[in-house]
Amino acid sequence: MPSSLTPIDFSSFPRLDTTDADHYFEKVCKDNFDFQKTQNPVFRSFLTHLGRLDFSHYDSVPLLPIEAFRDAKIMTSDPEDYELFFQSSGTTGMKRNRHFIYDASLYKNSLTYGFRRFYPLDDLVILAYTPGYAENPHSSLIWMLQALMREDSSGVSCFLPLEKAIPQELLTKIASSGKKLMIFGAAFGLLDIIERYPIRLPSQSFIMETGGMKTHRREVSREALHQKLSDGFGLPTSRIHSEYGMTEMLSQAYCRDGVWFEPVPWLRVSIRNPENPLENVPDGEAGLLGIIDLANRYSCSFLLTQDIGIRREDGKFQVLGRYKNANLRGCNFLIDHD
Amino acid sequence: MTNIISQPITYREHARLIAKAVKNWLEYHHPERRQAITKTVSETAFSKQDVTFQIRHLKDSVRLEVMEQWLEEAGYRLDDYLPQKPPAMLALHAGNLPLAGFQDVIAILLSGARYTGKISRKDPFLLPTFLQEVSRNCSYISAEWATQLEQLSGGHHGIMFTGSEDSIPLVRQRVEELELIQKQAKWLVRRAHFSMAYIERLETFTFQDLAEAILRYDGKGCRSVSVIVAPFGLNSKFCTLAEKLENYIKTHGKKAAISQKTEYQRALNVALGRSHVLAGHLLIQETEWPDVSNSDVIHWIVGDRTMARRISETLGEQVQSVYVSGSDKLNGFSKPAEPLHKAQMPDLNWKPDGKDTLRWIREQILASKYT
Repeated sequence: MPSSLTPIDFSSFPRLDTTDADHYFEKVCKDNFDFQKTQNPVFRSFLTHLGRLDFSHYDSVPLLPIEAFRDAKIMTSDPEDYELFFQSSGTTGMKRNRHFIYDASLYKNSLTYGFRRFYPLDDLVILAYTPGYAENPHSSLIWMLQALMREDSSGVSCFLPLEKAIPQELLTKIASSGKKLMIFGAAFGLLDIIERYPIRLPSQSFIMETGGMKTHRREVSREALHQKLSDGFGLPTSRIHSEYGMTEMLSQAYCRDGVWFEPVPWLRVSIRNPENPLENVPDGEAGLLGIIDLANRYSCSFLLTQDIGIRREDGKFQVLGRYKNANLRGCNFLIDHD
Repeated sequence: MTNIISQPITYREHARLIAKAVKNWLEYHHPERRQAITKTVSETAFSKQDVTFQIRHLKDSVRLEVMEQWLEEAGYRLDDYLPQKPPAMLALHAGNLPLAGFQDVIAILLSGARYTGKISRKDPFLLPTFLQEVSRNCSYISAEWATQLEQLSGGHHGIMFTGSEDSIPLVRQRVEELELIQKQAKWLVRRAHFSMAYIERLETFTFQDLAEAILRYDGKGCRSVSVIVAPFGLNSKFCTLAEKLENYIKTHGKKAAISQKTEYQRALNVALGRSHVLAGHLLIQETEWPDVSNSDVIHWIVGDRTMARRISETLGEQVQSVYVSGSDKLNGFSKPAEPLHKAQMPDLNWKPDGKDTLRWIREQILASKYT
């Protein structure tokens, strides 16, 4: 891989709200753009068809819809150069998105340095509750959790057994380690724990839910979910946090106030018009959530999701749900139009 | 709101009078209808070809013998009398294709219930001229219609419209605010938004019919095809769809420009090497599974009967019909199979969302104890 690329220094990347941040971000972003434009054939073809081969600002880069990860290998090099791949979850028989990872250490550095920006990783024991992931050995979330757990010098961090209560002796062990507890899990897995095995956690604990509001069983708002988790674990809602990430990203964003996600400094969001994804939507207005993830150096940094979000001036963002097309094909009596 | 039919009328006579109203209205020289067509073409988004097509189809399909058959199938007896104090049905008509609500109007009128219609502002001219003709021919019928909900009287016993997960709560809120319906009113809400075509036997299939099923009304309407399952690919030698679509567009003067959103999707298709065909403003692309979130994208899936069934079951209530060639049957499908050539020319008594509207009115409204 070319040495001309500006290295991504995760440990000292300027914070989002500093004046250096924009400059450094744009520099690395342009590097990634130029590199991926020439080395990633899918991205190159996409840009060529849209007539957008020049870089002016990250908000103007055409974002590759993440469905591309399902139907093609999104790579900047030969497949044999890649160390591993991550795969999205899904039902048997359905084709899933695959994200090929050239350099696993890039992911490790992005997620651990990123996490440390928000949480005292060295003072945490992480317990993960991940039902449904046994069927997906290529889960980027599981890999991330394993990487975070390896940072725990106490060795207590682990994956919780499924459909069982959190062992009291484990909680005792964590208390005696002097570390704080963080329970990581998908929203509905955590709800299952509190519904079936109610437990009161130490007051300094954190809950980190990783999304998955909508399942085949139920859909709840983030606010309602956090309230349920707060009541169920005996923690104030200020200790109920959220993580935003996906198979196609190597970086994450964290929400500590129940509303706004703060991305790690090498990740930015760009809100696009669903009717014209080349167009930006002003801060404060809802649109398709676009992701610029500098850690995706060897795949594609410029992604368009099917989530709806709002960005604010300081770069934080809200996730409002999945995009639903109001212009349905069939007859649809619309009170304001018909 | 009360309406009393003073002279007893049988369903047989009632159908005859409505059929006469339809026939009069469809006469070539009907002045109000002709003027309505002119205004529709000049002031709405509908093309003359689409309006003419719909009118011609109604001429072929809305006949007395069909109405009588429909009444009988729906459990009415032709020699029974209409209810003397008919309950009132409110129909909210969407306007995404010309005369989209015509079947609902006929169903309500035939049932003997009192018709109230919220006419779409997107298609405001045609239906009122038909309703005026009905009023002239059937003086015992008291119908009401307007383009604004606020102009309509309240207290209806039933309401029908087509909606989505997002639009239905808003409609409910509004009609309740305006007290348009009674507390115990029955709701008939249709949710299907598109149809599928399944190609099994090429020898009985025509791409011409498929082009019509896709492109008529610019792809709008729940009977238009959004998903196609076939045993061969879009660019296969067996597939002459692109050519038929091009001819159709030229012949019918369809919209040619695709939207920015669809252009974006096309860029992705090119990047992924995905087979695709442009059809006016619509993009037909070959995928492994349909993502129906973009209404300008039609999905072509290479698959067999099992795949077609799986798709129709997974997409569930969004699918109106599955079209097949000729008289093929689709045993084991939860959706009705219809011949492809009837996609845009359904029978008068076709069942939106699998429900017979006329039967529904009889069972839910006319038979209801509180009416």
